Amino acid sequence: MASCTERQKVRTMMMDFMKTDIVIPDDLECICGHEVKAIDRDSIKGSMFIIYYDSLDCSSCRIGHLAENYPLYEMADTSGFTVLTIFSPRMDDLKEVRLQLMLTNSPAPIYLDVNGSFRKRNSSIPSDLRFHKFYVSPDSRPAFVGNPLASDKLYELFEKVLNHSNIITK
Amino acid sequence: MKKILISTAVAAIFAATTLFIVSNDDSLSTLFEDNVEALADTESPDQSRPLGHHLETCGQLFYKYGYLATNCVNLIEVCDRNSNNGCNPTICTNHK
Repeated sequence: MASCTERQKVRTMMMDFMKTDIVIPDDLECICGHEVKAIDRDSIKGSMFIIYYDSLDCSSCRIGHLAENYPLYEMADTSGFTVLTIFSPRMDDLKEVRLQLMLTNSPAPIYLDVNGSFRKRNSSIPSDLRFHKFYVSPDSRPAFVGNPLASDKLYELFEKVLNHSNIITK
Repeated sequence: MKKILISTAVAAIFAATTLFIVSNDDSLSTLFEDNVEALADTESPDQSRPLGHHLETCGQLFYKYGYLATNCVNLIEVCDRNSNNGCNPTICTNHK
């Protein structure tokens, strides 16, 4: 159970974060299996779930655990949103991360922030890791924050947000 | 009589619209508060965030032993599995 101070801190951060637009830059690189392609804008229209690994994260470690996010991709297929896993490594680590992602041969496309544009244009994303997984509604605003796979509470809540989002869209 | 009927109908539509907007807002604010609570209850970021130096450690190991791609990937997996927050250089070196 979180303390009142922690809850208030999260509330303030969420309020600020949810006021900002999330921008998907055109220069993201898509690692599709073993191949490197340009981002396909048409495939990421509408609502999105963003999984963001920033330059402070241990990309190598995260790449080894990409499969943990696959249930989200399955959920996306049935609920009609797109999952975007974005790595934004330091420039020094870029080649290494690209190579590792290609070797991993993930069945889902993984995006690489090659110029740091995603990081720069979305500076509103807090450094707090809990804010690095979030759902963006078609109006480009975050509508849910957290990893739905992290707890039953977050999963159920995410389902409610999706239902709410679908009602508004329809 | 006609005027009364029209104004009653207008008032009813207004009330229904207001009720819809209010309940919609209410459900949004409830979702927001639930999200705050659920997020605040999740693991503290200090416990879950790998330290910055782990990135360099992983990278150094990759370049040091990564001349065979398959071995390299296995190496990283072993590193990751054996430590809580990323790579443990001792385990990686021993594994090699």
